[in-house]
Amino acid sequence: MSRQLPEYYRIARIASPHGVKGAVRLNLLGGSPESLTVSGSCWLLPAGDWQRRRSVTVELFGIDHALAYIEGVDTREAAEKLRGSVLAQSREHMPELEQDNYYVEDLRNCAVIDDKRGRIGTVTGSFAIPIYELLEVERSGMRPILIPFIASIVRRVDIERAEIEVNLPEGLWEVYDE
Amino acid sequence: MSRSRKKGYFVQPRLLKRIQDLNSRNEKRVLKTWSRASTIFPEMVGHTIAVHDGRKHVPIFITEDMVGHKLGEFAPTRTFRGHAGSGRAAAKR
Repeated sequence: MSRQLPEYYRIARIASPHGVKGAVRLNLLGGSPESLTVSGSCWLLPAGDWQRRRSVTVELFGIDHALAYIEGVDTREAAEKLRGSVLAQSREHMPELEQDNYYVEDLRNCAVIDDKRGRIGTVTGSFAIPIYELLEVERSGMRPILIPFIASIVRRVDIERAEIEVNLPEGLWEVYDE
Repeated sequence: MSRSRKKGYFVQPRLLKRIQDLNSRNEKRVLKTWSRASTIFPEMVGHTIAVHDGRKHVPIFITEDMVGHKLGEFAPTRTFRGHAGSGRAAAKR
């Protein structure tokens, strides 16, 4: 069974105008800002009305590429109107990830299947700790369990089938079972 | 001022004893601890320790590079879950 994956990923939110020539300051939401420019264009999702998206060309500049010129925006007033809008990139134009790297949005809603217990729950999120990612897995009627996203525990990730096979270390289930 | 060398590195004695017991039986099992101040000892390498972050236990798989650090360094007390729909990538280590 294949599933619907996100159509686009949100890369940056427009925080404020910058200068008088229509530049904007970006709040980066995750992912590399360069992905906004690789295909030549990206999506501009207006604040509060994300259905009315339009394709725009973006030119990044500044430290960490946190400033941008957006096609058709050349005054401070026009930039001001974009405050809160989001710049997003289509899934097909996102950079190809290395092996064993996954977009967090793709991992969300994947079923987690343990060798011993079978299906244990669904991934509801992921957050980074200093050494690796932790998958937060919602279990029906129980507290969520945190599973380290490391090769010795996570055996297989199938984004298309929305399945993650794990081999939980002894005692991890009991930590969240009490 | 750094900790006196005379005292040695701090580790909760009970935690170290549990690790040594597991090592003597050549067993691996996730251990729960609230002792964030405990130093990671070489005996702990290869074990998974669930360290309390104030709200829940965070499973930390101990590797060689972590020896000498404190357990609490790897279980942040404030977790930022990222923005919904963002293009953040997660690497399987």
